[in-house]
Amino acid sequence: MRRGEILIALFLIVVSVAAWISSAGFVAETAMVRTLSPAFYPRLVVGGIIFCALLMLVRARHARTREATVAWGQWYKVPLAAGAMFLQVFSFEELGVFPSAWISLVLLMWITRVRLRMNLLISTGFLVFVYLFFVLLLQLKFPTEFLPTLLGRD
Amino acid sequence: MLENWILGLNQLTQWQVLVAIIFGVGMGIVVGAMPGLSGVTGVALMIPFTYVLSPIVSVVLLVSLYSAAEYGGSITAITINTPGTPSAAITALDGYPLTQKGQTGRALSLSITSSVYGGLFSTVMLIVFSIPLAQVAIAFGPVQYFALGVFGLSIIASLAGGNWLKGVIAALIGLLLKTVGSDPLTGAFRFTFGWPPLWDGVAFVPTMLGLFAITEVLIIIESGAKSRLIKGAAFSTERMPWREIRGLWKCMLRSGVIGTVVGIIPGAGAVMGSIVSYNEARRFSKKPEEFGHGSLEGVCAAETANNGVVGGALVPLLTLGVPGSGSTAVLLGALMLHNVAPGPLLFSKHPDIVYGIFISLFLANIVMLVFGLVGVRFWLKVVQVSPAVLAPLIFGVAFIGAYCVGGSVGDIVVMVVIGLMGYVMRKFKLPLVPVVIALVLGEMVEISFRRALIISGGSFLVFVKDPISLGLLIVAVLSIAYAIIRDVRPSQTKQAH
Repeated sequence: MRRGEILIALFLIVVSVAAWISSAGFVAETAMVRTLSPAFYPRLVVGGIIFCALLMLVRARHARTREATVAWGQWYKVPLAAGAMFLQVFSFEELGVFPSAWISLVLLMWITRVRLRMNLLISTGFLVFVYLFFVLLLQLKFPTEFLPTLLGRD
Repeated sequence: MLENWILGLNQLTQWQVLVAIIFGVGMGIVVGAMPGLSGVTGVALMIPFTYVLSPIVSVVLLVSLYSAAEYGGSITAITINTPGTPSAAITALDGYPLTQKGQTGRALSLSITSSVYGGLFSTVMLIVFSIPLAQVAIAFGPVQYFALGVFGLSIIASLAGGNWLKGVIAALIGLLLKTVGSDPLTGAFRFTFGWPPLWDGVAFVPTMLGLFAITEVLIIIESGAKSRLIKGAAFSTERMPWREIRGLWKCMLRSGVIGTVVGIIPGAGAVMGSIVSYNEARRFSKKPEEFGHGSLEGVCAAETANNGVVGGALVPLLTLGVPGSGSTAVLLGALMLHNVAPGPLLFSKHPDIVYGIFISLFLANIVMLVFGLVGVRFWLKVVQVSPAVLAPLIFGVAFIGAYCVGGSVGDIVVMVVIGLMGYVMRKFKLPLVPVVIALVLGEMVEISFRRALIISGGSFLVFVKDPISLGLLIVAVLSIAYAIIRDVRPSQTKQAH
């Protein structure tokens, strides 16, 4: 029995069933669906996923070896890293790209255990490079205002 | 024909194109040489920044990067026994023993010469095959395109990761992701959950960055991100004499052919090219016992083939619009972003771009030869950046890239969420390449499928009445059947490997 595969197969079945149910709400003008409704093709794909997941479930249940057991390493670092990424995603419009990117880079390098002095140096250096290359040279526009909503500049 | 070549040559008179080749080759060698990163990550990270460039400069940059990344993997494979790309693992089998014998310089010079030969050979084959194939494919309609899409996906799914079921599931996940957004035929919103950023579907660039850059960042972080500094490394710099390299011409020719043919098959990729070529080189060798202990033929076979795959993989991409690997799928997406749709019409609509690609591939290989012979020590220094530092910086670049494309928070959320999905998929050994290829081909498959049914009045027989469609569907079924048979006889397959 391969527990990892059973878990992923069950997850796929749950998501696919949810997608199937959700596809009932696809609305199109009646004149446009004379041949196939907009839900037909997604349901075909979802049906395929459910079939394959069931097959995987059966195979995993009867497998004699446990070779597919997942090795997770330092898995606890992944949610921390994802948190640092989402922090930047949801804060950059309010804090400005550079402060939010600096915070998330410092956090990510803290997670990967880069020494503090090196961490601060590289994070700052990287953002200087970003400013020179992307803002000055390529003239890309990023939100740079600090707390625009709070300070009433939005 | 001649005027098309002149058009292609005209493109190279722009200084930006030449800079793109040099920059692309340099970046390709670096990402190829860095274990963990690969050509596909490099191409995905580079796409957003090509927005400010013209289509020809963008394409040349990305193609040069893709081509050079295959060579870059061999540098660390030979010097520190750490293959930069999966296909370079075969190079390491004989490359690293050569380093242990004090012949690093000979191995590296043979590696770059073989790579350049493989690249040039496959470019010639690309030109020879793609022009007539495009003329045949110009007659394709929705029925044939649907069959072609199914054929491409089935081959890729059956070859990916050695487990056909996981390959098929991954391809289906990609097809499902592609249905998000407004329905291309009726305009109905599907799986958007009322969230405006999804109305136009899952954006391509953030998805690529998520699957290849963010997933890689999370894998590096989870693995503990250990540094692999080469402390006090001293490598011999003595190059292999030209007459010795010339003596390997049979091996190069055979490996070039194998690499190109394997490259043309969707889903086969550089790893398979290197393995097949290496095995054949051993079979034909006068000294098979040297393989695995520092055989020059081993290095030559692996490197010629993995660069030979590059030109081969571009044949279905340019002529049919069907990518055969992750890198070519990302390239296809990049071309589409610049309103250049690969396929048979590309040859008549944009001959400047097609012939520009042909010529720039020749030039990229020459630049690669110069960089490879002169700059090995420099590349070795560059790739010593610790993964602990590299991972956060990749996220930084990916963030900027995803934001540049649409300027919305939604795109970046999609990138991170897809990255997490890719991480979970990799942990459970679900291959990512079929997802990408399904994402790229998904729209073509769905639209062709539904259009064909509209034309036939809802009859599914339309797909088996056409001989081309029938042939492609039979091959698709056979490829899945072959994968199933291979899967139920694992012990025999393992022995063969």
